[in-house]
Amino acid sequence: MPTPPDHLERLIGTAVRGLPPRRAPRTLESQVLAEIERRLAQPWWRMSYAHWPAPVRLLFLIACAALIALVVRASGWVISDVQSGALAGSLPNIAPAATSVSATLAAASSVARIIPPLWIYCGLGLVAVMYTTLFGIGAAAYRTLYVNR
Amino acid sequence: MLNPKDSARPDDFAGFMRAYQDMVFSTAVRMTGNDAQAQDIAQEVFLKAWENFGQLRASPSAGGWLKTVTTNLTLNFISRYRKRWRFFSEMRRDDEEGDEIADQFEAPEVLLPGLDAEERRELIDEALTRLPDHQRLPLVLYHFEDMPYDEIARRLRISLPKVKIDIMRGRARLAKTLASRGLDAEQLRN
Repeated sequence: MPTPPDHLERLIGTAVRGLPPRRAPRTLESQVLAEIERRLAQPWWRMSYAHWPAPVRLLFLIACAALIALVVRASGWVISDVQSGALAGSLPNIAPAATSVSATLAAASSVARIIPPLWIYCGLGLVAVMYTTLFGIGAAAYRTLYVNR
Repeated sequence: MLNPKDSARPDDFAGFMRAYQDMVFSTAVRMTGNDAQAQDIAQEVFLKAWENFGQLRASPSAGGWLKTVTTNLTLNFISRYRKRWRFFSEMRRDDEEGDEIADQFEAPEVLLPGLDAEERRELIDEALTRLPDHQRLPLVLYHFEDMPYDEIARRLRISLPKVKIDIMRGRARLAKTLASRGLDAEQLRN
């Protein structure tokens, strides 16, 4: 007669209760200590930020803040120069690039005006249906193959 | 984070390690069923302990911390091989016949009677390595790490019914193996 599950659970629970741990290999301690020695021998710049000396960490933070401030200020200068046209002389490629971008946008907007709105709505609807279908197939596959096992 | 350089010397840490290395290694080896993998995991655990040694050295819950880290690292380690593990877990295997035989097995009232703790430990650890991964891991988490079924299902990302079935079948197999080993040991003694 097969053993009832409750009895098996009690049986195994009793058998494993209070077991002494298995002895670790003798090499474990020497391996760990050797790795620690190796890490201690490393110079600070090869370690993670948390292990850097405090003055170096402070210096690093100050340098980062200065760099961020410089980037923000430089962006401000560039933007104001572009707006005032001061850069036009020094950067002659900007004007043709701006012209081609605006021409592309104008072409795209005229194409959008030609297409009937119904087509656009149908296209958007098709994209939504395809997205939902693929999402549903993915979810069903996940539940079937991954979760319910 | 405390810098271990400021707070400890390797000599202090060696004593700490000696106190806990058997527990850490046992936890990892029972979960993985593989000595080499368990040793790698134990090394990783103690390197983490070294990083936090300033707090751990005087903490009464250092053992609990190590146990939790070992369990988590071992589960992470196993999840790296998850696809392969699941593949084997889901395959219809020849050893499922073993499950059916174990399901029909009539267990004795007591397993391994008359053996001391060290002898029992040896036989149980050996029998655990014979279990398939998908049965050993949840069984060890339940019986050795006191993890409830739902937590095991969540951590292993498998369904609760599957966890219960795997543990039940693992118990039956383990009991069958231990019953035969116990008889052998008794016969040897007599």
